[in-house]
Amino acid sequence: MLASAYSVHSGMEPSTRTLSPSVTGGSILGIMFDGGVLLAGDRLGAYGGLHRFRDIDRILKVNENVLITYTGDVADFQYIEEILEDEQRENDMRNDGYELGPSEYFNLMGRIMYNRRSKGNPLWNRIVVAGYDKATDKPFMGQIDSKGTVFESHLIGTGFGGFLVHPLMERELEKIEGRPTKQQATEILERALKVLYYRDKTTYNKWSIGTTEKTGSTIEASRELATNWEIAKLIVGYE
Amino acid sequence: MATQFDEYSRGDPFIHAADQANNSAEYKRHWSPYSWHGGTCLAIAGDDFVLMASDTRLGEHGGIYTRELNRNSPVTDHCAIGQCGFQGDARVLLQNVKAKIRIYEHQHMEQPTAPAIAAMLSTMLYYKRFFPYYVYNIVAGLDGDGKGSVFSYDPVGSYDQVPMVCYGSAQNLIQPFLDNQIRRPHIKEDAAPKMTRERVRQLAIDAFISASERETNTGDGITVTLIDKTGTTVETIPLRRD
Repeated sequence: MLASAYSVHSGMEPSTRTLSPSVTGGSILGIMFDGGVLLAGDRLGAYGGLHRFRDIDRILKVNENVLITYTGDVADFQYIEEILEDEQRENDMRNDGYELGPSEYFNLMGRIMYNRRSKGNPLWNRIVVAGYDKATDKPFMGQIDSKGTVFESHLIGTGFGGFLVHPLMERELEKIEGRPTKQQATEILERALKVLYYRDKTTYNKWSIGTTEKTGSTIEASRELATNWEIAKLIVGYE
Repeated sequence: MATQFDEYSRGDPFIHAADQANNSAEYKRHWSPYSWHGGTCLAIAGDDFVLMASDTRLGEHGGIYTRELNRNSPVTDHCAIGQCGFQGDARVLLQNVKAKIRIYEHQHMEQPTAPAIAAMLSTMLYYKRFFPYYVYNIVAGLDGDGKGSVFSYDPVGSYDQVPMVCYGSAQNLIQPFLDNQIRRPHIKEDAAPKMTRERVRQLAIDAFISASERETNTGDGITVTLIDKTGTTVETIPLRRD
């Protein structure tokens, strides 16, 4: 009912060329720990069921305090990357001692996604913004979807990762009082990545892991997980 | 591709129009700019206070994005706005309302009363009559005489002052319960019991605890905001997380 009110107003149907993604990035997992945030995603650009581009960077380091990553259409995020890099370059050139932090980029991305949705031409992405917010002296992580829905959270899993391993990570975190340490978060994340690789056929065993802390951000570009497929013969009943 | 949960809300009796648009076979050809994010919000007006309570679960199609979303927030010292529906629109609408309140404060050197904010929100919603904010709003605060007042809205700005209201996924469960326990227009014999802050707070909490047993989109926690002339207090109460 409301959707047709929208169509009447814009005088046209939504732009149909934007309604299905082409090359896509997969799940993203994010865990906040005491003093920072860990992000992980695989290095795959999938073309439907085909593992087409097997070595792409999906985590963008915008500045020392902000990492941005995504699930969804790769081309749309490459467009977003240009906007973010322009914003950071403008800030660097201004050189007035004020640094853009994760909150600022989170608000900017929220606005961009909402306004594109309102024009009927959405960016087909789920964006995760993570960083260390110097203003509040706390780590920050938030998610924005293609319709402009935004929220902040200490634990994020997008796509299949959200469905499958987010509950697993949440159960592990419930055993810990308050925020986990970086070591605990790393262990939980690595276990979650392994489960994701074992169970989600669209993942690829090459991962980017981003860490952002008060001292700065780093991205470990490419890591392979040690997996054990011996257990495969124990799984019966699916023939 | 893997960006939406799909298909398994077909049998859900609490499905809403926008949700159906997203789940239908035409979705791929006819994308909807709206989503339904669940959640429930209620507000009750006392003689010299108001109470607003909303759950903290943000979810879509039976999945949960976060358990800690705040759906109601104070906009002045004596007024709060609660929202449920499509959270993207809700966030932007609230930002615009807060900006306009700030302008009012600069121009008038005092904060607007709840009825003033209520009238303004109605015009803001109607301005988007032909591409609505898909949000069910509740404005709760003190009027110029310090009396509690609650205003309820539909998505395009039709509003009225009410003694209490509940909107959202669990409204069909909670509204009749509040009718029975508070103003009771359908019971002629007894007078309504005295509405103290404690009683109202406990009613709101009990309503949410019961609703989250039966309504899948409601749960995780409640944000309870109590406003009276001494100020605003906000507390969070946990609910079941399934």
